Amino acid sequence: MKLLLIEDSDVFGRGKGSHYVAADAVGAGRGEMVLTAAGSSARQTKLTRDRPVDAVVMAIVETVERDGEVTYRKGKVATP
Amino acid sequence: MKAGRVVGSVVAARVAEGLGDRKFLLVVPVDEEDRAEGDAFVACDVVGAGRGSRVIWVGGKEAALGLGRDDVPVDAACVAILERHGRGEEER
Repeated sequence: MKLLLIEDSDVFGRGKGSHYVAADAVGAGRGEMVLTAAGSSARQTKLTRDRPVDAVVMAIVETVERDGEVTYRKGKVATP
Repeated sequence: MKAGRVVGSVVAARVAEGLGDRKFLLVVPVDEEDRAEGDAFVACDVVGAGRGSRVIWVGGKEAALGLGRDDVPVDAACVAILERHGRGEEER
């Protein structure tokens, strides 16, 4: 099982400085924005079923839109 | 269950098994007066909510049940669109 170090981010993909570890169910890589599920929900993948895991990466983000504006697009560097 | 307002959406490039056709919404928790209360988070949509919708969302493992199954890795889901709410005689 691959474990990833995840940094919380805002809608622009900018890191917030807080980190946690999550199992990877989608093949995510460094720099990608991802969605994670926490708590017992994290055990609801084939990879993590019945495993002692409380966070799982369950999606890789392509775009984020907030209030009608695209704030993040995969592959583009976040603007400060 | 809690109240929130949909402020945006997230499109996924790849998702875990069982989440293939799910829509992800950006939701801000709101108080009784519809004022934002805390940071936006991502929730799965199961009721066809869109930007501006006031919703009821559920967190934790129960969120997967909103999707009609209990084996998907989801920890927040919008399970109802809020039409109006009230306390006592007052209605909003």
